[in-house]
Amino acid sequence: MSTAEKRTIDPASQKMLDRAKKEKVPTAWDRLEAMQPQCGFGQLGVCCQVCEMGPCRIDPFGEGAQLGVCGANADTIAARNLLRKIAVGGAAHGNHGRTTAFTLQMAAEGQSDYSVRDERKLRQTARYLGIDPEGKDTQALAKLVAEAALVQFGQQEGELAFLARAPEARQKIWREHDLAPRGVDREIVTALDQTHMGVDHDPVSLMKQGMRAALADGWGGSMIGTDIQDILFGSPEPLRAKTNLGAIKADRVNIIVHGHEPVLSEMIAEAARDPELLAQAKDAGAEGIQISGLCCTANEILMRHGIPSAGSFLHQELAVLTGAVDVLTVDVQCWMPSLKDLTEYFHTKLVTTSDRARQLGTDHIDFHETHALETAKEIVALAIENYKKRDAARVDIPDEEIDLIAGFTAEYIYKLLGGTFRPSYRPLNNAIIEGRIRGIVGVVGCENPKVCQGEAHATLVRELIKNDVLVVTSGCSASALARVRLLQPESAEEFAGRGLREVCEAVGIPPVLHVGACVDNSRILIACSNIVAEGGLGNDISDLPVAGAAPEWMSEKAITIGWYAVASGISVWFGDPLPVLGAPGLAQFATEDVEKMVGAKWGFEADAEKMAAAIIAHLDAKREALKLKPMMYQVQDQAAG
Amino acid sequence: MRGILKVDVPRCIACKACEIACVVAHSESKTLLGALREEPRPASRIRVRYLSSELSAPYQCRHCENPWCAEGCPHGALGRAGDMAEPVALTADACQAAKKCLRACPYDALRMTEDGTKAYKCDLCVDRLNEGLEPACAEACPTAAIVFVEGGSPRPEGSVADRQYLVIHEGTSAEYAIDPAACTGCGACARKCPQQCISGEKKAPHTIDLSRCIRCGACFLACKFDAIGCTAPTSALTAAGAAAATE
Repeated sequence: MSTAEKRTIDPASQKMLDRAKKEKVPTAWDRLEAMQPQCGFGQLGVCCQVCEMGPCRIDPFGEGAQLGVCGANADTIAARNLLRKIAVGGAAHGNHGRTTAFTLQMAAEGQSDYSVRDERKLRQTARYLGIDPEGKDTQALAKLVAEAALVQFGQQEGELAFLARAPEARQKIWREHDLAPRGVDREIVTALDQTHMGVDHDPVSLMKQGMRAALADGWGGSMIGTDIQDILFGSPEPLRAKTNLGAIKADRVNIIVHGHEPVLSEMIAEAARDPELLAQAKDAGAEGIQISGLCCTANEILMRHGIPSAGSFLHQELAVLTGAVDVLTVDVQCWMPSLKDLTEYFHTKLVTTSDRARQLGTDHIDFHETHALETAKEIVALAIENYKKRDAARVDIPDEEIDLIAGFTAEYIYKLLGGTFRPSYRPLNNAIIEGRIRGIVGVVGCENPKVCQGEAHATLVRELIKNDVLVVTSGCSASALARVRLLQPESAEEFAGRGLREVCEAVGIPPVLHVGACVDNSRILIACSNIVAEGGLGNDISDLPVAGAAPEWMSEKAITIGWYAVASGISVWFGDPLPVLGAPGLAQFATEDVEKMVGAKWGFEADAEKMAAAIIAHLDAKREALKLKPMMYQVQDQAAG
Repeated sequence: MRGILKVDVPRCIACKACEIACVVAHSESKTLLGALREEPRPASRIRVRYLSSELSAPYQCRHCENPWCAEGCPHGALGRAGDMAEPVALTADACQAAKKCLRACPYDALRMTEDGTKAYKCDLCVDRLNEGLEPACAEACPTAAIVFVEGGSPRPEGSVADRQYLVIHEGTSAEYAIDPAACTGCGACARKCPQQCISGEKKAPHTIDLSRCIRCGACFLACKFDAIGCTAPTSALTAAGAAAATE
């Protein structure tokens, strides 16, 4: 097995890794190797840098120091560290949601190039925010919705409005354990406050605030982000698209949009259709202008417009290595600082666009909603100009470009399974109750060079669908699963168990549903709430045969998402463990005791097949608790001998 | 593969990565998460010691020529399996917990297991060496304070050492010195100095002859009165060290 084959299962990535090796360009995988071995104290969560009496670290093998200078033990230290990470993840999604709310506000005031594209979603969201949409015109309503959304961030007392979208039983649990978030910003600030030297030393109390801050992400920042993006850019509906590095075209001007917030990339997509710029591109000798995405910006524009995705997190360096990227714009989150040096190795221009995400020595084109289209055109023009500098001899683009279906939302499930005239979740609930579908698992999260890229995602999901588990996916996981063709309806026939296959074939869907970017994991919360509301599967999300998994996670956002899932009643499995294993009490809380509080807990399992087995056992236990029938074809097959 | 470990004291930032790597290398599972769950708990053979507010150093068995521990052991549990290139090994089956080695070693390199039945020490990761891997501590050290030199001589050129060692601190810019105000002249350091380069009248301040000193730190460990200090022109933890690193 070659080094490239050990690093990724994606043939396109392998080709680019071979090229990187040949040209002696380092990638994340090389830097990981140089970083080995990584610090054990950090991995176990027991390195404390909170105050200047430290840094302190607890010897996990019991010989050295067992208490920090202040007297904090491993549990306190690891819990404080983890709470900080949850706060950061929530802050990232929170600012994403805030950006979209401001964009909607400006659109409503007619100050920007944006407008409301999904009137129905606007009216629906208004109701959730306590605004009566009756008799209000679009602009006026949009203004009220934007303002009410912004209030959610600064709100000091009470509860986030969207919590009311959860089942009653879930809301009760949140109130009972003081987990209901008051305001998005307040919970993040409180989390940080509690981790200051000498404030909260109780790991359970710290984790309770962790869950409250995480819920303020899932049912706050992220959900506001998803909903307002749907309002501004249109709610996704199933569509065909393509992914992988083959999305980059040798004969076109290539612009890659990378990051997480689609506000600018939506405009770049529009600017790329500008006849004047297209003519300029032709004059420069290009066949056209190709937009493709990376990471979750890719998912956003893929879900709504079918714009191809060049790939996921670990594809970012590999895309540049094609030598054919003329401009790479980045907004926020998950773009690697390594891109600066890497793009300089080719003709590629790296452009930062967000006021809060810059890099020294990199061109910055400040993006603002008031002149969004103008900025987008400037970026496209820059790409055309830079296309002329491209060295055709250095262009090497892998052919891989895989078909996929994306665009599934919690709202669309009503139509998808219930039909246009009688939209309903009933057929989905029935499929679970009858034992055609064992349960639903959200396979989400990042990629991490510590594990072979895409292998755990693919192995886990194949195993799950073989066992009649319907999979919903988002973020980089969705890209990874698309690359192994699991987002094609045909994969149901090839990989899915009989019950799941029947459902997929009847409706014409893949067994793995792409629900969007990582911020759109909030769609999964709504879908779960809708299933509970439909009836027949218990009273709470924690009653459902559902689970979450992030087998290749790496970011702090993943930690926050995991915690809001757990706090919402969805048990979550991670590949690499959370940094808690050096703290026995905290590890015990996360993997066991928290279940008594919120009805869900954490599991850590590096082996994807074992993770699948653990998840299936969990779904079966939930089915049994609901007294559901055994799986339909399991019974028949057993009877047939 | 055989070789020596070179230790450069001012480069040590006391991160203790070597300690963790040592535990993992001497565990059954050879993984951090696996080692955490093992019983009996695997233990580190290397210890990062504090020398001053700015200096620290990893301490482990130096694998000396004519080791004191082997001389001290009444049961023949300690010794070399071959020539000087081989590490000093402890045969656990032969060890009867006499603990004489613990007192004999000037580097505090031997320890007793949790249940007190056996001594254990650094084996220079001989299993790893046999597989062509460098010792775990050297591999883990992020600042190259511990470096494995394959085929390195146990008596490098210019060395003033009377004995040969496989773990060598000589050549570092750190210097040991005795504070005359704190020295009681007890002579403990002089008795432990393998170079016999510490001298002084009884009950009068002693001095170190730096031209013969191999920076092994045995005196530092021996002193009960905090009279021996270690200094370096730059260390990784001082501002001067940071400036030196960026140059």
